[in-house]
Amino acid sequence: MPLPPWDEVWLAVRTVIGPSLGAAAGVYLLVRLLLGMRRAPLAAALAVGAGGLAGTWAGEAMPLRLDPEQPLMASAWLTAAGQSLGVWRPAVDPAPPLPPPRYWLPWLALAAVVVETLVRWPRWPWFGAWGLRGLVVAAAAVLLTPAEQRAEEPWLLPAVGGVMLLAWAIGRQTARSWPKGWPALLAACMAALGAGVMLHAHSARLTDLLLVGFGTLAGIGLSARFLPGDQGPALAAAALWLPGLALTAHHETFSDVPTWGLALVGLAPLGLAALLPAGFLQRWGRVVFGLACLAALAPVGAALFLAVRAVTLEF
Amino acid sequence: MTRMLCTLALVTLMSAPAAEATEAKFSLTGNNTKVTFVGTKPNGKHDGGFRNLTGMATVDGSDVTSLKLSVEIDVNSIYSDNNQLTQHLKSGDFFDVRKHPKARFASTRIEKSGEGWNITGDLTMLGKSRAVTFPATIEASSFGLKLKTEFTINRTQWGMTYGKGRVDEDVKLAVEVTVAK
Repeated sequence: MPLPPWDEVWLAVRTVIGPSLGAAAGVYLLVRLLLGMRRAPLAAALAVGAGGLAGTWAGEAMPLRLDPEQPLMASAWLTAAGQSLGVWRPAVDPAPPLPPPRYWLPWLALAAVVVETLVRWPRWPWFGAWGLRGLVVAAAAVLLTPAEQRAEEPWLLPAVGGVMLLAWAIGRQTARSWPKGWPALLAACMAALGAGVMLHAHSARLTDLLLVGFGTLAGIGLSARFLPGDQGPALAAAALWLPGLALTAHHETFSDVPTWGLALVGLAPLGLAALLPAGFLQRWGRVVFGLACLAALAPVGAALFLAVRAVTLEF
Repeated sequence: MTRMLCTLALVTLMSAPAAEATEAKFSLTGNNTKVTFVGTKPNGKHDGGFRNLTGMATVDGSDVTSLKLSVEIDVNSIYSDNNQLTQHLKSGDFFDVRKHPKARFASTRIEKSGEGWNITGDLTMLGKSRAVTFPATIEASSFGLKLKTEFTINRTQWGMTYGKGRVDEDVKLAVEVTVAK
């Protein structure tokens, strides 16, 4: 597999990975130091926001404005969201164009982070917490799947929603069982390998977005090695980020990367299930733990293998 | 009676020249119309174009100002000097072909400018329509049309915003039409 030229790698490190990793690590450490271990989820949540913004600031891989020439107005955003969700139709004809499905990804990741942070307050009933998570996942499944694709493949909507919700549940549980950052670090590796798949799918933007995920999760995971804590909100964002980007790649890219390769990137967060038997793994030492980590990365590793086999990159 | 016949003949003779200046229609296809582009980046450039398009050009005799152009480009027919780049251009990073398979141009006005002409029209790409004006050399008659133009657009005006610092925003377009009846 030929590697990109050094100046391209350095550009990605300088403008995407470095800023996201630095911002996420810095914010997590600061908030965790100031507010203590009980507020670690809040630290992780703020770190996700900082890392995401810092990583996309220079390359503009993730525009937040609906129209690059107009400032973002709340009314316009709400109208676009309502139309995209199919909640209402505009009165004007022709209707204003809808943003691409990937536009909603950062907002959905933000919603996941906020929900996962809020439900960690004591006294939240379990059905309330899962109801909120379900709402975010349902919105994500609808917003990230184009209407034409929903009509052609009706099974896709529940499948996407199911994967996201399951990944969210797994991430939540592993974040509590492994406070020293291993789930976030593994999720970061998944994002990095997924970025390799997107590179072979000929999408620089999606590659960058996964590198933002890598930098942010790595920053949080590495920081948690020093100041442990529950990184659940970060893993909630990852549970939507990877499947959402894989879905986007499926309907936006043109390459010989097989559909299964892209699907495995979307399924990657489920690999964290290998860390669920935490007590068992922590008792049986590093070798068993290492094998569990490899098992967690196996699906997305297979995706990269399929991509490299299908596409020979030329730089 | 004779006077009436003479008057009728005179009217017929006077209207005959006007009947010669009929509207000529030319069908535009990828065979007679070439649309190419040059995209640049800090350390190089790439050439490409679009193979398939359909359209119509109508003109009143040799009156170039009456020329009307309407073209629909099949964006999926895009090609470039690098196969990977072609697939990248089709993706959501640039043309997002699956969502926006067609690009369109419709002229609204043609004016004399020095020794050539200025064509103004609406260029629609990625669902956004923007007015463009560009210089062109045009030779038009009822029997054929030749048009040649080169101009630059800023791709970000049509929402093609990705690649800041990696790919230049200005793209050179060239169009050449050679069609005869």
